[in-house]
Amino acid sequence: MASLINVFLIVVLLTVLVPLGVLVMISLLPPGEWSIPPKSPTLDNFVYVLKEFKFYRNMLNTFLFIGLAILISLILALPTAYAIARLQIKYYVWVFTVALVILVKSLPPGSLLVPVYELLWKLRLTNTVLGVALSYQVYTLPFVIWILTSFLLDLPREVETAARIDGAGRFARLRHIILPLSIPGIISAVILGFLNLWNEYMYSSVIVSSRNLQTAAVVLGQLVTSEYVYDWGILASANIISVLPAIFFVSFVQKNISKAITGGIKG
Amino acid sequence: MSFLTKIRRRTPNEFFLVPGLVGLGIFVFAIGYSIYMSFYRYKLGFMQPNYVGLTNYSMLLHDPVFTTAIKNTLFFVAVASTSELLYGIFLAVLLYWSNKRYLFIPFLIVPMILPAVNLVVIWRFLFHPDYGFVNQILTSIGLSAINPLNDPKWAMPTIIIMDIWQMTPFVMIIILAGLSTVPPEVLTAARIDGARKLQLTLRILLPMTKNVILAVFLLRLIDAFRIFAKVYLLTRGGPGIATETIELQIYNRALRGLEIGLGSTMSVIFILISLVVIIPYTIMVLKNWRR
Amino acid sequence: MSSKSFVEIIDIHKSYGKLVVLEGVNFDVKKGEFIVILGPSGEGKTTLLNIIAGVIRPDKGKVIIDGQVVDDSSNIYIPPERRDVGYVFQNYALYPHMTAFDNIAFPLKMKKLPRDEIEQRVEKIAKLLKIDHVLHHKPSQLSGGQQQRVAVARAIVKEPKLLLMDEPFSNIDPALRASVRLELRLLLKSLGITSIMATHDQEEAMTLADRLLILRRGKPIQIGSPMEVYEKPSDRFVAEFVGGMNILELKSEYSSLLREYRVEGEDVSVKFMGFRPESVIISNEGLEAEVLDAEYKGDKWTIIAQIRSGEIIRFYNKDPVNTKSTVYIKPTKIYLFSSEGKTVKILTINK
Repeated sequence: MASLINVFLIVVLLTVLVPLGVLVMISLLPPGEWSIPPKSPTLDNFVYVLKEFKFYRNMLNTFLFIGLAILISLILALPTAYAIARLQIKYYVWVFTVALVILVKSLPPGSLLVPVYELLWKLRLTNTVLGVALSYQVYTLPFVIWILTSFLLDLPREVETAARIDGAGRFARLRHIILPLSIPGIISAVILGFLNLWNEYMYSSVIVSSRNLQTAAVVLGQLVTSEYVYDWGILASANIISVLPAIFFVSFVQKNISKAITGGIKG
Repeated sequence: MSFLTKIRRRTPNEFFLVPGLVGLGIFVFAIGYSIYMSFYRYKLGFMQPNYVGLTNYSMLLHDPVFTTAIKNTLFFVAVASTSELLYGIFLAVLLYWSNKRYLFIPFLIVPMILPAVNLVVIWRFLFHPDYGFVNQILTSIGLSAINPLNDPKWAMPTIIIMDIWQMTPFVMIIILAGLSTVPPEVLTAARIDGARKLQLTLRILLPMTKNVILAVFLLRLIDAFRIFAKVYLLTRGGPGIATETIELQIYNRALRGLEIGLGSTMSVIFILISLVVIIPYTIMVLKNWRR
Repeated sequence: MSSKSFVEIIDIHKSYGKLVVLEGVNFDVKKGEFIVILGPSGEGKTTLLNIIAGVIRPDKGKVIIDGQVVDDSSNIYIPPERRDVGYVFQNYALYPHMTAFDNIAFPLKMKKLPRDEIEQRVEKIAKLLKIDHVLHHKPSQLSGGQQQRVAVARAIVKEPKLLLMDEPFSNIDPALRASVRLELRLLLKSLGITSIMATHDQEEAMTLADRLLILRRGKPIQIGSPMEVYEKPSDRFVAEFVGGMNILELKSEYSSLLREYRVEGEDVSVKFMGFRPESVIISNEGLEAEVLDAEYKGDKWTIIAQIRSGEIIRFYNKDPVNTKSTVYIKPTKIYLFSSEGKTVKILTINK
């Protein structure tokens, strides 16, 4: 019986690995060839993507945008999460805030694209780093508030009570106790935030118009949708390169990943 | 007592909520603005806003393209989420009973990290009418080449299959975590009572994980409304309007076409539809977080 | 001698919905006194401590510390941050991300004292508690005993008006408990710190307390010195809980026994009688009992026997008694309880 289960799982595993294998094989194809597996595999595609196409610049952009966005979110989210999780606030205010967080988190970002774009346009922030980071707040802010609140709810109450008895007011507690103890939660938020946003396409493509500021996801999208794709090899290798950081991240936090994801879902 | 301390003592706890509320507030404001603009016609940079009352709404709701977009979106949301839920439960159960669980998990998670783009590349390549691998095989055994992406009947299912491939691991891992929290003593007691794995699963494991399953389902439903990227990249809403979705409409007509007014109307309708799932989810979380 | 109270707890009531946690709690603490709140687990001790600390508020009643009303269950309320009390938690609640030094220094830091003064005071208190050599470690690197001492140090380093302790010794290795307890009491007395400690361990309470408050299901049952509570328990619960007592329902068989104690007539209100294990002599008349077992305690034997009417009693004896043999025992001191359990009379045998 046990082996039957494992057989099933191996089949499922194949459904995952085979397409990936195909992608890898495509990336090794020299131009003009389309047989799988490639008869004469080459790494030229990778070289081209990195050297000539300067794909790494797009990846850097993505990194920059997301990093800034998460930073802004963390600064805004921490006191709010603390208040929701631990401070005594009036009931209807509490309900209002939590409902608001969930609402903005659940709304399809597409539904907010129009007003957000218009606002950025009016502020002349379209096509700027800050503009993109601000627009990303649709994704990151409620998400970070969510994760931090979840995390803070699980912190032991006694340590905070001890701090109160030691004479620490709210700000002191936030700074000396809550902040240091939230670090695992913050790391969780950063990792999940990156995973979430790395492949974001909608906002990134709309708000950024100049080529060298575009994110990796957008560039890949453009490559894929041109009607007459010829250089599949280049396309595939660009894709693989863009996924590498994520795979790198995940292998680091393997054990914790399920904790992080389920932590994000608590409630 | 210093002046600063006086101020500090007087600020109520609610004050701490301000930073987050300001950020979120902007988006709420954006929603409000959308609602407001939905009654206008306004082309950004070309003309001034022009009050038209409910015209936008009636126009869109009678527009076959838009209504098809709504239908498609709902169809996708319902079918994809349900399939992912069932498939995810199935996989989670398999993993739960497997003794080599930790070998499988890291690999099974990978689809989640892959951007939609990658899948599109793979898919398009494999199904290319001329040199696609799948078609090469089909033709070699005598069947005719297929082109699912250009076939209205197959386009949407293809997208659904892609989404299932990508998002089921998410469902799977959360349900697995939920299954793992079932206390082993309960299972042992049932085993002693003679239950086999299948019965254990159906009568104990799954019922005790009800809440997690419900939460994941709602979460997926909410998330499924966001399939912009896949659709855009794969089919651009085609062929014809077979895979046209609401987000796509917004993208094309509102942004590329700079029709803020119309775009706002679409956004409002979109929000209203998604509220159907968002509201039960909100109630669930509120209950859970109030301690 | 100052008889003015330093801490006054007046008529405290606390309920959570229908559950009444504290009811009518009243007591005083004099400056420098060591008061122990003794009672079974989960019956209100921690809640009472938390109310005194200001962590939760009572529904009714007042808390006064050093002449200042810190909580009157309506408008007046001073939050814990400003109450100048120290608190040792049962689980210590040390700041896991700070070193022991920083943990102890934290209250002083919150008072915004200058750096060198903080250093000085922390080192001084650490020396007193013998943890000066581990100050640079984090709590996770310390043993349970060391953690407890850090918790105590943190609580007293700011020289608070009042020290509260919630079962501070429950996580200490039983073999070390006695010495740790004594050390702490000596230290607190030498520093003159007024202390209130909660525990369910009656031996601990008896050793440490100047006075005891017996709390049962949130109600105060008796307040007094250990000797008072032991010799003159106010009701059957206290008698059993502190020191242990054999309690029997009064039956006519015992009337001959009681006659020896000069009980005049039938006192209708008396329903139970009790005697302590140590107030028993084996003689040739008295309660007839069959010996079931004998436990060696080093300085004495505990004999477990069953009397005719079926109840099981324990008493101490210098030498062992054979199992299955019949003995006649005479209690030398009898406590008589009413049907509600209140102590009615205490009788000593006349030789």
